[in-house]
Amino acid sequence: MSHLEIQSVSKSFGSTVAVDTASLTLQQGEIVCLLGPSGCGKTTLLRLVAGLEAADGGSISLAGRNLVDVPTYQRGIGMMFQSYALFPHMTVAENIGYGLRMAHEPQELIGQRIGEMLDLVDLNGLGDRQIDQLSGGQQQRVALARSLATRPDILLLDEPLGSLDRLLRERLLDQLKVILKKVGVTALYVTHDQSEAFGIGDRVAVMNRGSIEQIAPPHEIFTRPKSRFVANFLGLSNVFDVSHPHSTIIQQLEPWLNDQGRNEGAVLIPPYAASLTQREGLLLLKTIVQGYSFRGRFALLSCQVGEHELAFSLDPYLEEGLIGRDFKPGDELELWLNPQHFVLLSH
Amino acid sequence: MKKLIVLIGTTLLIAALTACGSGEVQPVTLKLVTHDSFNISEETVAAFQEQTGHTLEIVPLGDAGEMLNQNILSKNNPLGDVVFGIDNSFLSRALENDILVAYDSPELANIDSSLKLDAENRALPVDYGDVCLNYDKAWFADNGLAAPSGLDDLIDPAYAGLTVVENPATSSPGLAFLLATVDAYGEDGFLDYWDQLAANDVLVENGWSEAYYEAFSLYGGDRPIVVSYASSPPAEVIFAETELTEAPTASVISSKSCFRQIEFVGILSGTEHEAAAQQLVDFMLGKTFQEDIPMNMFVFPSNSTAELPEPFVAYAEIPDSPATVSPSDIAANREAWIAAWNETVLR
Amino acid sequence: MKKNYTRFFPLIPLIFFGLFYFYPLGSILKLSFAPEGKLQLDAASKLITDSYYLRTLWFTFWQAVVSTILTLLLALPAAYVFATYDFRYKQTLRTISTLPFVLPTVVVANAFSALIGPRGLVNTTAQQLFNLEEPPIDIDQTIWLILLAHVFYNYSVVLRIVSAYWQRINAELTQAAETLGASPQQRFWTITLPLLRPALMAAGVLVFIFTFTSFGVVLLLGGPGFATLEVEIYRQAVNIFDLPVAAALSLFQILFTFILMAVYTRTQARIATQSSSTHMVAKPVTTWWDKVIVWGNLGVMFTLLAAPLLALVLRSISWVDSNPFLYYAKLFDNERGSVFYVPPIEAVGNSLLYAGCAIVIALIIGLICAYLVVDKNNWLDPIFMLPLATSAVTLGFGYIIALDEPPLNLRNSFILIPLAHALVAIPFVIRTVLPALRGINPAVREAASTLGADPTRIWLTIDWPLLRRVLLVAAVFAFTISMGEFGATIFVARPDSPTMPTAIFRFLGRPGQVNFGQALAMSTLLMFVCSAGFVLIERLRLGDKSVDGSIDQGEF
Repeated sequence: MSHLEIQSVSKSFGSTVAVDTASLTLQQGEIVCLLGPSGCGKTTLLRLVAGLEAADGGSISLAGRNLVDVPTYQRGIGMMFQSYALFPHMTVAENIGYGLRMAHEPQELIGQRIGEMLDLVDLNGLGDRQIDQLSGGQQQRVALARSLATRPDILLLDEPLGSLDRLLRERLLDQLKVILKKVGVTALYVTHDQSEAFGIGDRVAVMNRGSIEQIAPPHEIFTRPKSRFVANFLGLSNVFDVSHPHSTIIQQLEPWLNDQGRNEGAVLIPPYAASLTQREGLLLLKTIVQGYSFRGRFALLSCQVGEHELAFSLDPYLEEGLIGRDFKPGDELELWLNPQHFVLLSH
Repeated sequence: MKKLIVLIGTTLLIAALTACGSGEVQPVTLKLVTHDSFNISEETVAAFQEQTGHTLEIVPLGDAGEMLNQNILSKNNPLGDVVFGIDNSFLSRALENDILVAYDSPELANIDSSLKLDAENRALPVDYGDVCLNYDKAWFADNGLAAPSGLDDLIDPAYAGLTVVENPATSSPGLAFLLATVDAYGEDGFLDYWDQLAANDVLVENGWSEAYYEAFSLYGGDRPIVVSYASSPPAEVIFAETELTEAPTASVISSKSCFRQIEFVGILSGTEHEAAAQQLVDFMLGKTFQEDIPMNMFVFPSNSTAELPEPFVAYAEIPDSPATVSPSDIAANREAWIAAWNETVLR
Repeated sequence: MKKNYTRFFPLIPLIFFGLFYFYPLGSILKLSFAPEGKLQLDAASKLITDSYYLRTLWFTFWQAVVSTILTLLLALPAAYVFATYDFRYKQTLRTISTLPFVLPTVVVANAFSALIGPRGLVNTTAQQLFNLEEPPIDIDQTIWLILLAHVFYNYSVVLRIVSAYWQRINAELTQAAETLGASPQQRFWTITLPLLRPALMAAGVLVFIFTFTSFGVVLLLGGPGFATLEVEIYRQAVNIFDLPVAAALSLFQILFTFILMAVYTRTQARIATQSSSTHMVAKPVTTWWDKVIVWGNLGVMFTLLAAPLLALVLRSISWVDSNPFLYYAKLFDNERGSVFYVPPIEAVGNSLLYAGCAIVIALIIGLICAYLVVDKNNWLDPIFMLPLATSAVTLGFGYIIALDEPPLNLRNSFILIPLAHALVAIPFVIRTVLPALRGINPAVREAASTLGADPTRIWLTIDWPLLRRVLLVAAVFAFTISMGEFGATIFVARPDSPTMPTAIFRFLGRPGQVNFGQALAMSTLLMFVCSAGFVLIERLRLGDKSVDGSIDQGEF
C-alpha cells in the first residue's frame, strides 16, 4: 500500500479550476517533484495535501489514514514555504522546537531534538540567533530543520529554493537531497524549475491545467515525454504534426513514419538526435543554417527546413572537425538524425 | 544668519497661516469680551453702532469662570475694552485682581440699589436672574403629589429621589443653589440640610445641561425637580415644540429658596478707548439694550424702566425675597463651603 | 545652496512647536510657579502631601488602564474580522466606527442617557417586557458608564490600527504553525498575538493617553463622584483659580506621558520591522463559523457604537410636531434676530474651513516631524506626542498670556483655531506616517540619486508614491480632530465664526424643547458632514488608482 495516495482530487476557486481530478501516489521514502508552469495547480495540490485548502472532491490518505476531515494541525505533515515563514519573534532554536512544543513534548526531549536538527542542517551554535541575523541559505536550512523536527509522515516543499540566486540554489539542492535521503522522509516537492526537479526527485510529475500529465523518473520524462505539453515545457521544441503531409520536414521523414505506421499525432525530434556524420540507420535531413554558436560543452545550431525552424545541440567533442568550423546563415547543411531518439506523441 | 532664517521662517509660516484665516481686517472697533451664554439681537447692535459710530465686536471666551480668568491673565494687555457677564459669585475675584476701572454711569440712577454690589462702580449691574428649583407640573399631577413649595419639601421622605442639583464645584447654578441654602439655613445649618438631602437620594450632576436635559423628567430623566432658573418656564413656552398656553414647568419662589445671580459689566483697565467704552456701558444699561436682554439671555434687566416682554410677564415669576450672600463672603468661604459640601454629599 | 534647501525643513516643525506649544506652555508655567520671578514650589509639594491628589492620580491611572484593556479586548475580534473577511458595507462600517470620535461629550452623554438611562429606551422596554419595578440597567454616574464611554470613543482607534497591521502579517506564518501541529488557539497565542504586539502597543498607548487625560467623559458621565487629573486641573484653573496647583498637575501629567512615550518609542525601535510580500487576502464569508464571527462582531459594534448614534438621530426628530424635521427647519430660522445666529450652512462651512486648514498644516508639519524622527533621533518622537497629553485649559491660558504681542498677537485670531487643531492632529500624522517611512529602503533613494535624480525628484518618485496612502489616513484623523474640536480650542476666541460644535454648545446651554432639539439636529448634521468628509478623503486616493477599499496602512 502506498504511503500517500491522492485520488481524483479537485479544487476550484470560483469559476477557476485549479486542480482537476488529479491522482498521485508516493511510496515510503520517495521524493516526488510536482513540476509545471505557474498556475498549473501544483501549489494548490500541495496545499490540499497540507489541508490548507479543502478539496471539492476526491480523497487523500497518508500512511493509511484518510485525511478528508483531518485539520492541518493534526495531519502529521511538515511543510517548507517559499518565504520560509520563519517566526520573526523567535530564535532559531525556538523556531525548530515549535512543533514539538505544540505537541507538549517534554522539555529535555525538545532540547535534544533541536540539537540533532541543528546538527543535521549544519547550523551548530546558531540556536540563539534571531532570524533576521541569518543569511538566506541559513534561513532555508532552519525552515527545513523546523519542518523535520516533528518527524512528519510527509514533507511538503513549496519552491523552497525559489527565492535564492541560481548559484546558491545549485549548492543547496544537493545538500537538501542528501539531508532528505539521510532522514528517509517521504517528500512532495513543488517547483517550476526542471533542473531542480530532475536533481532532487525520484520521480517527477509534470502538471498541466490542474491535472498530472505524466509521472515518471527524470530520465524517462526527458527522453520519453508523453505529450506535446510535456515536451514543450521541458524545452523540447522540435515537434511536428504528422498529419501535415505537405510539410517539408514530414516529407523528408515519410519513409520512417510509414515504417512506424503512423499517420496522425506528432513527432518529437530531440535536440540531441542530430549528427553531422552519416552512419548506419540515420535519417538524412536537408536544412539551411540559420545560426550557430559554440557554447563550451555543446554547440547550438538552429536551422530551417521548409517553413519549420529546428534547434539542435551538437557535441563538439564527438563530431569530427566541428571545433573551429564556422557555419554561415544561408548555407545548406545535411544533418543525420538518429530515429531511435524520436518520440511519437499522441496529441 | 540663523536668526534671519528663523525670522524668515516665522514670517513665511505666519503668512501661510494668515492666508488660511479668511482675510480678517481690523477696523477701529470696540471689543466686548463676554461668556458663551451672551446673546443679543442684531437690531440692538445696529442701534449702538448707529448711535455712536463705533463698531462692536463681541468676543465670547468660554463660560463665566473661564472668561473671567482669561481677563485676569491678560490684564496687562486686555483682550477687549468692555467685559460683560462677571456675576456676583465671581465679583470679588474680578475686583481683587484689579481688572476693571470705575465708571459712574448716568444709567445707574435707574438701577435698584440691591443690585449694586460694588460701591466704587467698577462693576455695574446689567441683569439678574434667579436660580430656583423648577418642577415638572405634569409629573406631580400624574403622581398625585403636591408640587414642592420650598427647600424643606426636598428633605421630606415623600420627595425622596425626586431632585437633581448641579455640583457647586463645577456649575454656576449649582454654586448659586448652595449659596441659597447657606443663606436659608445659616453657615452652621446648611450642611445638615444637605446631609438630609443626600439621605433623601438627591442626584448631583456636574453641569446644568446634564441635570436639565438628562436627569429632569421633562426630557426623559427620572427627576421631576431640578435646579434651574426662574426664567426657564417662560423659555419652555417660547421654545416649545408646539404652541403652549401654559408652561410645562414652574419655579419654586418661596422666601430664600432662590439665589439671585447678578451679572455685571465693566470697563477693562488698560483699554485704549475708555470714552467709547463708557458709551458702550451706558448703552448696555440703557433701555434699548435692557429690553432686548430677556428674550435673548433669559434673565431680567437691571434697569427698572425697561419693560418686560409678554411671555416673561405671563410665565415668569420673580421671587420677592431671594437669598443673598455678599460677594466678599462668597470669595472668603466659597472653597471651604464647597469642600464641606463635597464631604457631606459626595463623601 | 540650491541643493541643500531641504536642510531648512526641520526648522518648520521646530518653530511651530516652539511658538505654539513650548512658548505658551512655558509662559503659563512660569507665571504659575514664579509669579514674581522667584520660584515657589509650595503647590508641587502640596500634590505629594495631600492624599486627595494622590487618590485622584491613582483613579486617573487605573481607570485609564482598565479602559485601555477593555477597548483592546472588545475591538480585537473586530480587527480580526476587518482584516480577514470581505463583506458588504465594510467601508461604511469602518466610517461609522470613527464617528464617535467627532461628537462632543455632552451630546454623547445625552445619547447614552436616551439609550440606557433610568428612563432610556432599553430600560423602559425591558421593564415593559419583563414587568420589572426597577430599571434593570442602572449605571448612571458609575465607573461602568465612564468605561463604556471610553470604549465608545476609542474603539475605532484600536480597530483601524490593529486591523491594518493584521492584514499585513504574512499569512504563511500562521499556516506554517498549522503544519507544525498548532491548534487554532495555539496559533493565536504563539504566533498571531506576538506578531500583533507592535500594533496592540501603539493602539494601547494612544488609548491610554486619551483616557488618562479624559475630561468630558469623566466630568459629564461620571458625575461629581469621579475626577481625573485633567478634571482636577480644570477645576483648579477655572473654578478655584489656583494656577500653581493647576500648573503643577499639568506638568505632572505631561511628564508622566512623556516617560510613557519614551519607553514606548524605545521598545518600538527594537522590534524589527518585518515586511512580507504575502499579505493576507480578505476572504468572503462562507462557512457557518465565518458567519458567527462576522455577525457576532458586527452585533457588538452595533450595540456599542451605532445604537447610541442612532438614539441621537431618533431624538433629533420631532415626534410631536406635524413636521418631523422641525428642529432641522428651526436651524435655518433666526427667530429672535440674534447677533449670534449662524445658518447651519455657514457653521458647516466654518467647520470645514478650519478642518481644511488644520489638515494642511498638520500634514506638512507632521510629515517633516516624521522625517526628523526617522533620520535623527527617536527622542524627538515622545516630544512631538506631548500636545496630546497637555491639559487644554493650561495650554489655552498659555495662549492668552504668551501670544499677546505683535507679530504674534493671535489671541483673537482665526488662525489660532486651525493651529490648535493641527497641534493635536500632528501626533496622529506622525504615528501614521512613521511605519511607512521606516519601510522605505534607503538603498532605493541612493540608487535613484546615482541615476541622476535631484532630491526633489527622488522625493516625488520614491517617497511620495509610498506615502500618499498613509497621508490620506493621517488626513482622516486630522479632519476628525478638527471637526470634533479637540483640545485647547475651547479656550480660543472665535469672533462671529461659530463652528458646528460651538453651535451645539450654544443650544444646549439654554432651556426649551426646541433648543434641545436643535442641538441634536446639529449633532446629527455634524455626523453626516463627517461621514461625507471621510468618504471624500478616502476617495481622493491622490491619484493612486491601484488600491482596493482599505487605505489605512498606518500602524501608529
